[in-house]
Amino acid sequence: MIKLKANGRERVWFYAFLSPWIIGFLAFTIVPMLTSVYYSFYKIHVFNMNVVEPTFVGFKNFKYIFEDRLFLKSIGNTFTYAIIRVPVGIIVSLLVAVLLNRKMPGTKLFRTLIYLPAMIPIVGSTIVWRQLFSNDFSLLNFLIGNIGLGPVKWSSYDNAMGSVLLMSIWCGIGPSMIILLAALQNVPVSQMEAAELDGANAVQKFFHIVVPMLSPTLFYLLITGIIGALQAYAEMSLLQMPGDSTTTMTMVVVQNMYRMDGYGIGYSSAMSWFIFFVVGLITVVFFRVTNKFVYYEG
Amino acid sequence: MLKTENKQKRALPLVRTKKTRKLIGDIVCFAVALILSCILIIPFLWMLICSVQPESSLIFMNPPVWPDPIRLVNYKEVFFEIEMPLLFKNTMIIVVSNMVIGIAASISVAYAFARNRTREKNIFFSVLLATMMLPWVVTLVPQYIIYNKINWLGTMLPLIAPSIGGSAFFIFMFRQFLMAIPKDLDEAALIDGCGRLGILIRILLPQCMPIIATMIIFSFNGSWSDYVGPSIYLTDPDQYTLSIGLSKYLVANSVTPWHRVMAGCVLFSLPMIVVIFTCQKAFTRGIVASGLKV
Repeated sequence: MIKLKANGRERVWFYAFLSPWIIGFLAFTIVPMLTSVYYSFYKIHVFNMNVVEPTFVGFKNFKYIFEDRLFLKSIGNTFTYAIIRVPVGIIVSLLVAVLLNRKMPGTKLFRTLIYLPAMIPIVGSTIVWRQLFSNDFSLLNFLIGNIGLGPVKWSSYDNAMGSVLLMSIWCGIGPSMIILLAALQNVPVSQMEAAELDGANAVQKFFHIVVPMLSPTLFYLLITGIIGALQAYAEMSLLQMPGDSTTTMTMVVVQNMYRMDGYGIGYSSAMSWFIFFVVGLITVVFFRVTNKFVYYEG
Repeated sequence: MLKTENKQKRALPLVRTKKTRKLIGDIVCFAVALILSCILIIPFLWMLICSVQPESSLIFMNPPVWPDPIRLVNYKEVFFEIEMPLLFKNTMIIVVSNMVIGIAASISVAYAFARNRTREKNIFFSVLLATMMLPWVVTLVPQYIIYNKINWLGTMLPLIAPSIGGSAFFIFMFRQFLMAIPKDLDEAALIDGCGRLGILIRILLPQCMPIIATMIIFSFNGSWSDYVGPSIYLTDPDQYTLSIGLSKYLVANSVTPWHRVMAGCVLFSLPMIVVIFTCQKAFTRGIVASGLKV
């Protein structure tokens, strides 16, 4: 009886604090999501953001996905991208965060500078990033040429994915670093001092104190990183590697291609839900497996 | 050489050795940080160089040309040509309301997920994660149709109101952060008769300043540079945001004045730089240490 009452009270405050999300979900998320499910069963023509003449086609849109060579190829591209982007991004950001968590002059400035590439507005970024990586005028080639390297064909068939990855990690270090820095502030000083007294060196402290204490945040970066990388498209569409190169086409790039075409909304919605299930499946696996290694307090 | 140095070090008293070690470490770390920053700021630096070019076409020269003379007037021109004060004000309205509503909501929801013990919270958490997995562009058309039906087009409401539900990324991030904070203190406060909201505000939030600062940075940058939303929903030039103003300026001229566009981009990113710089004040340790040590 007492237990039930306590449970009830627990439930009351759960829903009270959850209510903003429930309101937001019901008002702004669920209807567009369900509408896109509806679209995925129709052939739809969108004109001026208005839907005209929808025709029911059943599961045809979903069937097309498995016959769509470009899309099937894009699945492989997406996985290549994600497998490199996620771990490299996390490891580099972690090292940079630990480096800039040190008490030394200039850390604030360094953190800001490292965040800068993520702040270039879209309007400017097309010019800036494309000039860095284009084939005929590559600023990067000019710079590495000064120290006797290169030139690299950044947007050739073989290098295009590498360039996209480089750019993506380049922009991504700052934000991940900030999250990790925030988490590093709560690593107890007492534990570090105790370990130091026990004669632990920097590497031991890093793996036995810093990494476990950061594990909830690293887990967050891993899961959101996977979700983000499997849906990557901004970097690819920004760099716009040569048209004949399909090596950088990811699932969402292909999905967007059909969406932009006014007749493709139904098909692209079906594709989105296919992507949803792929991302969901992989996320669930990683969530289950890695959550065991996360160290939560209390 | 190195060996004798080491021997000397050993001979010194412990404090001195530690100090020299710290100094050497500082120098190495400083050098690494400096080199890394120098490499990473190349795109931004390039934008900066382009923004003071005397002529737009010089941006596309191969090899690149150093601006001569340095033309700072570009900044003044773009500032007045796109009516930056108005755009700035509009952007600020959206950014600040999104930030306040979005962060408050995310904190509340994350607290429920981190500290509550009901069983159904796992179901809700799965739904929350699932909302991140659908490519968001697919909901653009349905969203537009809905906002059209309730007459929100041409207003800032579609850009502000959805933040009431918080951001899934913030909720997840804040939940992880809360779960890394020991429960002892808030359980003690509960026994002392402190309410749930009291625990959140008086005990947990003071320990969460670094992550709140992080959310402020992300929220500010996100809404400040948002382009897709404003470009769809804002129709009245009096309501344009900075990113819309800049992109309209880009296409307004038959020959794009890239040097001035770049100057606009630099001005565009200045507020974000100020925010990230000031928010780092919260990145100081000690709050937790002082709160929990017996």
